[in-house]
Amino acid sequence: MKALLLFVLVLKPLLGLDLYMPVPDANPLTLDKVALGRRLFFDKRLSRDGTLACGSCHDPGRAFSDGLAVARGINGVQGSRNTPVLINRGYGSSFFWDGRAKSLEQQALEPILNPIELALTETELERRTKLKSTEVTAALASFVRTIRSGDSRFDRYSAGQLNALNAVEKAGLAVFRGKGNCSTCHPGPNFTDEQFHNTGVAWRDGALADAGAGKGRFKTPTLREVSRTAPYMHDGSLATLEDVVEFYSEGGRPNPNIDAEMRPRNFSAEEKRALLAFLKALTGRVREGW
Amino acid sequence: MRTRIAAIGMFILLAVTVTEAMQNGNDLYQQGLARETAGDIRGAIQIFERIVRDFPSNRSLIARALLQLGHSSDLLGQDQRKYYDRVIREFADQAEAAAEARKRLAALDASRPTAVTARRVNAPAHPTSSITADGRLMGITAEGGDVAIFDISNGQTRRLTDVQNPWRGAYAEPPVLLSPDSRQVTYLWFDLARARYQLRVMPNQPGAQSRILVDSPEFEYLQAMAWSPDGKSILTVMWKPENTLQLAWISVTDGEVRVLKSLGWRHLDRPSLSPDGRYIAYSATQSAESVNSSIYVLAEDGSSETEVVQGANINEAPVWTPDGTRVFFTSNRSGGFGLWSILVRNGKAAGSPELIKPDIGRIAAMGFTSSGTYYYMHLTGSNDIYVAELDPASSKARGAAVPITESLTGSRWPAWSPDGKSVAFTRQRGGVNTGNDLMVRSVETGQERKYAGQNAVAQPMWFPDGKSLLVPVRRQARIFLQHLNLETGEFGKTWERGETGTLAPDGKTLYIATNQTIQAIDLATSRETRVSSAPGLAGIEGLSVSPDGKMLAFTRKQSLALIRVDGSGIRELYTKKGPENEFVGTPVWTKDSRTILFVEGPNQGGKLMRLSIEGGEPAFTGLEDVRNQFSLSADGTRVAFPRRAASTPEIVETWALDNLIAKTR
Repeated sequence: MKALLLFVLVLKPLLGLDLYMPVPDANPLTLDKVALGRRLFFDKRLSRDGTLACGSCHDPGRAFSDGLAVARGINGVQGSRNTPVLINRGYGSSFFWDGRAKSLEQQALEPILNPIELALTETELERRTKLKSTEVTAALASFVRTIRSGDSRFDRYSAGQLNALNAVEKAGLAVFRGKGNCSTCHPGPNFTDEQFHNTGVAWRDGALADAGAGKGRFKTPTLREVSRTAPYMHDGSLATLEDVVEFYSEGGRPNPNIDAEMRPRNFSAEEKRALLAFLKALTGRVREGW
Repeated sequence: MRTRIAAIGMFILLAVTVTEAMQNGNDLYQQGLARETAGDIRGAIQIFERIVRDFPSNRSLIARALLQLGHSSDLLGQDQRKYYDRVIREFADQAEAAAEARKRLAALDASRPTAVTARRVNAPAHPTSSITADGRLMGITAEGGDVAIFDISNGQTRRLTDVQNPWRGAYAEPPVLLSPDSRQVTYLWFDLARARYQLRVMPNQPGAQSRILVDSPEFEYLQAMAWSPDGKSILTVMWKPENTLQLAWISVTDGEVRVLKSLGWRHLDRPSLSPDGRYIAYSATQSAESVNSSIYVLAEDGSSETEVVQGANINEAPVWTPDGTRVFFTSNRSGGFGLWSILVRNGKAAGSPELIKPDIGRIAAMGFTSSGTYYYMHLTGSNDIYVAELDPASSKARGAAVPITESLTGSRWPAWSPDGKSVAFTRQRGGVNTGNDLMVRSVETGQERKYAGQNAVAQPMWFPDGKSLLVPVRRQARIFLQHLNLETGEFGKTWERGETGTLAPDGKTLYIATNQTIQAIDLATSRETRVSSAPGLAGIEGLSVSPDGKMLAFTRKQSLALIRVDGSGIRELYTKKGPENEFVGTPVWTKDSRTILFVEGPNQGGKLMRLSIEGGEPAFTGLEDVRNQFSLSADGTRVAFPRRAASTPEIVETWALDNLIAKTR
């Protein structure tokens, strides 16, 4: 009952988001767990040298991203992939750029134990938190479920406030759904199909630099708050949104396994400007906890 | 002293009045019994109803009158349970009457027939139709596009709107749903000028003013599915511009949209709201690509969801029983489509699926009435491919068309192979909305080969070598063109553009019509070249390239026009006069590239006409009831087209099943 109360009263969704968010039966949302998860999320004791917490890379001030091309772990060790944005992950169905985690509970433990991220051992995690590791991940997953972004100008337009987008942004929406074909991989309220695609980002010098989920495919990220989460792509190789639009205008990077959807779009300067304006209209309110 | 006398007087007066009233009530009761004994059952019912209405303080008398109403109703073959239920519910203090009511109910239960009986209901049908809880009324759209209420008890239709000319202005589309108290109606309204659907609500009164609840470019299409029990919200399925689906509540007060769940490109069957309004049962495909579907139960506030029926099969058409304890659904889990039920408690499955009625077939469920009758639409019609012989010189029919396919599911979109030995066509899979397989049938041997794996949704196009096809397929609610190797059965290269298209005779160029433009696509490079772009090219519905590869014929509504493949020489060839709902169908060229065949008439089947590209009036070929999906063999001697099988004249019928719930354990 407490969990239900929490969901109805606290997780009242932001405009544009579904009322239903899947929550596993084994880990119902409770006030206590979300509060614990929030404390743990910003607790630097979760890193071996006490210098980093989850929130160090998933900075609330940057829509829970870090502004770096690739993640940086303890001792400044660089990873190989861009820190994924954590907003609206409660609606997700697979996690990490390669989708190797099937639940937030499963996902939450990996960065803590990863030697180039927070680099703890499970035993040490339990010793420091005086909690079982399953309790830690249940709490962290619960907190992450409460991190949401919605109520953007696009959402207000979608809800019937037709002047919430200006003419350029509406033109950008038309490109997004029409010539750009962006909505094929970025559909729905969360602007992601939760699927894996090869757009050619990982294809370098005639070879795959990173296989991702296989054959150079990586998970489609949400576009909510996208103007606040540069740099872009799984490797952070595109510094600005303008670069991203240019990349897709050219049809990605040709390679043997590129998605059938990818082809040159040859956007005009006006179309690029409109598409950028629309993407910026996906900035809304980010809410976490209750 | 005066006061005391007055008080005594008042008491006597009151006593006399009360006694008289009791006397009158008892007298009436006796009169009712006498009427019943004399065989005037309806007269007796009127008297007992008057007692119930006019003597509210005499509980003993009302309880006895209710028992008599039950008895009289029984004599007329009408529902008697409601009277006994009321005695037990409201007159428990009348011990004798309550005991008698229980006894009679028990006797009724003991004699209740357990055999499920099916009966056809004389009612207009649409797969989204629903019925009121009392089983009496259906919201429908009447001919001409009006919102109307159909009364099953007397077969009368009452129009609520007055659409003057649906082809010029706006008109209603189903579903039309009555609110729980039957005082309001919600319906879909299509505004032709803006090509926009609106969800509207209006009082259930002819000529009453309607209100727009939803009118947004973000919801391209929507269907109201159920009213909340309090009549304040409407459960609606909404289609976004990218063809994704959302299940949402719409406020009847101000049209506010609360999205419950987004389903992406999964197919959603009609949801059913539990009688207490707490849960929504719906069927959805397990993924955008899957044809298998599960039954889900979603809390009305989105706080929980459970997959209550799953499996590698089709589970669809869920409806709640009147007591809200079970969900009935159809499934092919045991082979053919049967009617099943599952116990549901607190939104979760509380048992295993139970077969109630095998072989119910392809249906669209309307729901239960409060008395437990299950209404559904039986989809009986199916198309077969017919072939008629033509005189190649005049295109005159040489005899009646004969079917070359025979299936329980529909066959459509025939296309002759270049050598005229085979016909490729689409065939619907079992179940409703499960997609189509591509079939190729030898007209010489009758042998058929199925090419499964993709949902073929329009006329396939043969490559000149006759060994492969370009097949329009639907994926994620969008249409692509995909290469099919007929020898290996493999679907290969995909082209994104799936609009109205025609393949050039060399098999290298695809012409498509989109917006106000005709484009040529080089299939090898996917490079697109504009053939022509002009306002006059908007709304092209049929496009066909001539066998010599020089001309394109195209149709829009009631007109047929020509343009050269280099974009020059556009000219109107023919404009049909007559009813605006009749059209000129997709043009098909004869071998000499000098003549065009097309279907003229209503969408469901018209006349096959022939017209010279030099102009003039079209000539009737003698073939009628031809749908706008025909194919002409390369030598011009045979035409193949889908036609509804003669054995299944009706497309949709309304049926009711009685005694169904008694079958559940």
